[in-house]
Amino acid sequence: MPVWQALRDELHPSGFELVTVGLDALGADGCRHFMEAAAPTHPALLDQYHVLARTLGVINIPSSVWIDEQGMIVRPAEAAPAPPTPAAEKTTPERQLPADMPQRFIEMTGEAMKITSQSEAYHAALKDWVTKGADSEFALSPEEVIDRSRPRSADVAMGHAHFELATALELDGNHDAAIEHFRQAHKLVPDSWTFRRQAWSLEPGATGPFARFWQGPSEDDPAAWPYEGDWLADVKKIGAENYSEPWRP
Amino acid sequence: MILRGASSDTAKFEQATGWTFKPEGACKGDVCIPLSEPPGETIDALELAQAMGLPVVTHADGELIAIGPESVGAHALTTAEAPDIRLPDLDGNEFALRSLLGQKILVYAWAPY
Repeated sequence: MPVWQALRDELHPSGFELVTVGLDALGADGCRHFMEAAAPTHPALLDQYHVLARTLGVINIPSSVWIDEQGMIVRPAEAAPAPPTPAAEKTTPERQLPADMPQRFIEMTGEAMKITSQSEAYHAALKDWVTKGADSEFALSPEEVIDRSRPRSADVAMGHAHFELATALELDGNHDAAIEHFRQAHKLVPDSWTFRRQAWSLEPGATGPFARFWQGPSEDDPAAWPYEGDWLADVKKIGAENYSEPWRP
Repeated sequence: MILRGASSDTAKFEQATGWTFKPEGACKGDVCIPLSEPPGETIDALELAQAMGLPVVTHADGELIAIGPESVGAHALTTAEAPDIRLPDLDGNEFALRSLLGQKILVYAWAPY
């Protein structure tokens, strides 16, 4: 997030504000560490029930929604890549990985490196919109905004209700009941990575600082994993290059 | 939205679901769902959700209720008008997205997992 903070500081004098929202049932317990490290000068909020999924159609992170001065959405939820990194500052994955990293994380990092983004195009469009406003070709009409927002069938809507109930049950300490409703949410909203990642992150697949990124069966007791998929298996199944939908101008 | 018991404050229901009660029914953007009678200050959220066609999932005989979003427009957004999103910051202070009217806003969703 520091790169977004820098971008916000650059664009803020032009009437731009960044609002970061941490989607996590654990709320401040889950997000505090990252938020305090980022020391944001912009609104930084917590979203325990994934309100952004229900109200805006967010299905993955990081995602963005652009809203104009009149409170109209001009771009619905879409993947929000980090600003482009100058080639000289890029580091190889080998240099970033600790020597004692478990095999699963090495594999996950390898898959994550294959995830594609259109960072240059996205950020050029963002600056164009901040400069030109409604005259920017990247500011979509209200009809286009609605049309590009996620499809929502009755089943998908029901899946959102299951996800919210699962979150409430988890916060009540009723983890087993929560799992049942997370499963229903996964089945009914199969395109939501956040619904899956949230549930997976609440299972103790590993211990230590990486525990919530394990996102899959533990090495000691893989049969105890309560979900059909896991991050590594699901990404391999669809192909990491398909993890984010291609950016549309 | 999550409810503990079916009774809800009407204003809270409106804020959480994004539907506003008007003489013509429950409305969001240009879409209105007719209702047989306008709700009072408190409502039976289960009955109302049923009348509006909103999905409902319950736990423990209705002690815990989740009301899902509409699917009437077949899209996540029924209108391009940004919803009245209110979320807390780290200190628990509620922040309304609409307090930033007049600026261009980028809402950035992230997660610590």
